[in-house]
Formats: sequence, structure tokens, C-alpha cells
Amino acid sequence: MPESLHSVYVLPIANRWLLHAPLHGITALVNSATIEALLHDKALPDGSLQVLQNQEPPAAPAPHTGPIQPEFLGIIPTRACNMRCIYCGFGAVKAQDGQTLDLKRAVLLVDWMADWLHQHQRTHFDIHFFGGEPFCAPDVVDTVVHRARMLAGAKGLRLRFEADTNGFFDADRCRLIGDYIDSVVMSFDGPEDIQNRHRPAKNGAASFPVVAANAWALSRMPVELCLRICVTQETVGRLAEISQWFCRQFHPDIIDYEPLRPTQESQEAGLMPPDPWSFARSYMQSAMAATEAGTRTIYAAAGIDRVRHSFCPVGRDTLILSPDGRLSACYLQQQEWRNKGLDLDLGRVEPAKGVNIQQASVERVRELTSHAPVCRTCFARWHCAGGCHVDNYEMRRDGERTPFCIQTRLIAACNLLNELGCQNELNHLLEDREQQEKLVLQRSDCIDDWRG
Amino acid sequence: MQKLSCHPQTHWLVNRDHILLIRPDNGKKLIIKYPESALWDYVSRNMEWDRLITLLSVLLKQDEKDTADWIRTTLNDWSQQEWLTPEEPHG
Repeated sequence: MPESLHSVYVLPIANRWLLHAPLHGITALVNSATIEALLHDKALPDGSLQVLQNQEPPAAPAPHTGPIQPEFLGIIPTRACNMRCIYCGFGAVKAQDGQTLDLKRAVLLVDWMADWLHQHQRTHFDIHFFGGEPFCAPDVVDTVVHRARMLAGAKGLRLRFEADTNGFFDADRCRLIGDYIDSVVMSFDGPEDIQNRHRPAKNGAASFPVVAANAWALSRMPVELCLRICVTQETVGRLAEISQWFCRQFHPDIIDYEPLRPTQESQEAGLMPPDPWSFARSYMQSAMAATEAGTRTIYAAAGIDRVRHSFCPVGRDTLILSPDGRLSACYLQQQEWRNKGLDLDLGRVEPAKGVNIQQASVERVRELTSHAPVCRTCFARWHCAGGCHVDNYEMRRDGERTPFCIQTRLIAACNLLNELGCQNELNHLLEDREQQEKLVLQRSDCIDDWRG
Repeated sequence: MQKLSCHPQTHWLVNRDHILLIRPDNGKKLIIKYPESALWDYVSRNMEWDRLITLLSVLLKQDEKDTADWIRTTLNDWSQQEWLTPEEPHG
């Protein structure tokens, strides 16, 4: 077998094969004869695949080396929240109101990052607000926005703000978002019955009227609006209906579908993650409906538009500032990763001492992105990159295909067929559970393990 | 200091590194760069005086007295140029 085939994968699609070479950037639907020809270095009927035989792929994506090179800044203004979502695992429900990030710490980090970008001739300055609910700490958001704009203007940096929010804010915040925030990821689980059950306000009141009004208002402002749905076993059957309603009411740029992360809170509320096979099928059906309405859809782990070594900020040298002054690679609560035996802290910001980043910690976190054995034979390895490092810790350790793997592999394969324009094959796959299982449960996708 | 608010005829646009003030009634325009741009944003959202000083002193990295002086001077300029107007007393 030519050396150049070591990152080429094949998946069964009825009586043909979906060939995917993510590092070469090549995907094709081929027959067995083509795979035989590739493996034995024989002439190929399709000239476009010859590159697989005679050209090594570009280098696989990998973490940075040497001194830290942050891709963006994350700011957690507060862990507190004005809602009481019944599945929240971010600790927002229990967080004390008033636990907000010190403004001087925020300014120190923004200054550090702007200096670093300027010194390294970078052109883009990206800042992402996480929570809790970031807009529950309006002074922090205001200060970061204006300090960053002030420095970006002076240093010639193109600034971009993104905010994760629950959408439960007043008109003043809505205006600030419209004026200054480039992209909003609003958690919104669907029509009134679902939203009010999953995501009540802190005092137990219905959140739907405020959230829906803000989604509508933002859809008319120059903001990229992404509506993020947390999908449960109860709602997975309604995804197409929810998507169509979102598209009709709010014309979002993006709908992001996230299966419920099982937490102690979600278990206590009696909510279960969706069955991964059902989720994948419902996602694809919803995606097709949304695409027709001009809305892009995301299931983040199965994006095939790029290759990456890490699913999330972890391993990309991202600096995320918590209200207590810690700099971390992950926006989840420290206790969550500690429970898995992980340490994702990178340093601290102290008003008296400035920004202190531990290079050894940066190296340690970069190491986490080396892939687990189970991922090495998976065609989606450079797309999902193993998913969340904390949630998928068991998969990484035990080498088993998990529900995450099932839905990710099936959706990624469907996305590849869709990209190729193979609608018939895609529709047949979505209707045929046996074919889905054959594809998803295949032990190895590597072309050198192909047995015809 | 007397409470000021945006003149009813003042419109503004937030751009990447500045805010553009426009008075359609008389054709006047003013480009506000930083840090004045932050002050305009806060004043246009009717921020309370104490909070204004706190946030801007952090933003400018200077003490609150100097910040308050700078705010007064800037607001007076905008008021004289009729971008701002004294707030009507309620009741």
C-alpha cells in the first residue's frame, strides 16, 4: 500500500464505498475496484484520486509548539445566572449572585492579549464571553468591550466579539449586543412548552416571552444570530418542527443542535440525552429543512468543512479568565475536570502582579489533544477531534465507541454524502438502520483494514 | 452635575473604532474616537454618575477624581455643541 494512503478511510454505503481523505481534502463515492486499485497502486479510472497514490497529505493538524499562542480570549464575567435551567451543569443555578470578575483583572488580560497580538503581527483579536450568564455582569462586559475596542483601534487589530447567552436580558443589553457584539449564541430550546419547562427564569417564571422577544429583536440587528437547542430524549422527535418554527419566527443565521450533557441536575429533573441514532436522523432531517429556509445548521462535532486537532478551546492555547482570576483552557467549572483527574488551569491574573501563564501547564494541556486509540481508526478523527476532553474522558481511556461516537460518525458521513450531492444515497442511509449500523459500528475505517 | 441626555435630534452610528454623531436637522457630524466613544455609549444608555466614574476610571486606568474631571469637561463640550441636552425634570 502506498505510504500516502495512511490517512485515507472508507465507509460502506450500500454496495459502494465512501472514501474520505480528510488531510488531502478529498471525498468520493467509489466502488470496490477503485479501492483495490488504490491499495495496489494500479491505474485509477478517476484521475482526481491519483493524488492519493502519489502525494503525501499535508501535515495533520497539531497543537502549537513553543511559547503560548492564544487563538482567542475567553471571559467569564460571572458564574451566576438569572435563569434556573433544569439541566444546567455550569453551576450557574448554585452560584452566588455578585460573584463577578474584577474589572481590573479583565482589563489586565485584554491589555496583555492586545500587546501579544501586536508584537506577533496578528491582525485579528477575538473575544468570547461565556457564563453563567455573561450579561448578568454588565459592567464586566461593558469594560471588556470598550477596553478592547480602544486598544484594537490603536493597534490596528480587527476585533470580533462572540457571546454565549440565555437571551434573558433587558432592552439595554439587547442594544449593547446589537451595537458591539458580532455573534450571539443564544440558548433557546424551542416553542413555549419546551422552553418554559427546560429553561425557567430564576424565580420559576416563564422565560419564553423575554427570550423570544430578544431573539426577534436581534434577528433585525447586524448580529450573527445562532440559536442553540439542547436536545433531550423528549424533544428529539420534534427537532424538525422546532427548526422550522425557528426559521419562520427568527430567521437565525445558524441553528446549533447539542444533545443534552448528562449532569446530576439533568438526572434529578428526569431528562435523558437523546438516543444517538434518533438524534442523528432527526438532526439530518432538521438540517435539510433549515437549509431550505436559508439557515445553516451545526452539530459541532461533525463539521466536515475543516480539519482540527481539538474540538474546543482546549489545546489551542486559548486563555479563559474565570471570576476568581484563574486562566484556564476550558470554560467548564474547575470541579468538573478535576473530577476526571484533569488539570486545565494555565495561570492567573492578579491585579497586583499582572498576567502569569505557566508554560509547563500550556504544554500539559496541549498534550491532551493527542488522540485516543479508538479515534485513530475513525474517519471523523480530524473533524470531531475526540469531542469534549472532559465529557469524553472515558472514551479516550477505554477505547469504546460511545453514544457521542455513534451520532458523530453517522452525521459526519451524512454530511459528506450531502457535500458530494449524493442525495439518494443519503436518503437511503437515513431510512435504513441496518446500513447505519454497518457504517457506524465498523471497527476500523482505515483503508488498509479494508476487506471488501 | 446636571443630568444630561442625548439631544432628541442626535442620531449615532457605532463603527469599528469610533462612533459617528449626526444631527439630521442641521447637518452637523462628529466622529468620536476612544475613550470619548465609551463615554458616549454610557451616557446614551443613561448610566448613573457613580457607575460612569467607576467604569471609566478602570477603562482609562486613572483615579476617579481625574476621571470625573475629564467626564465633566467632555460632557460640557458635547452639551455646548448640542449633542446633549439637559434632562427635563420629571413631574
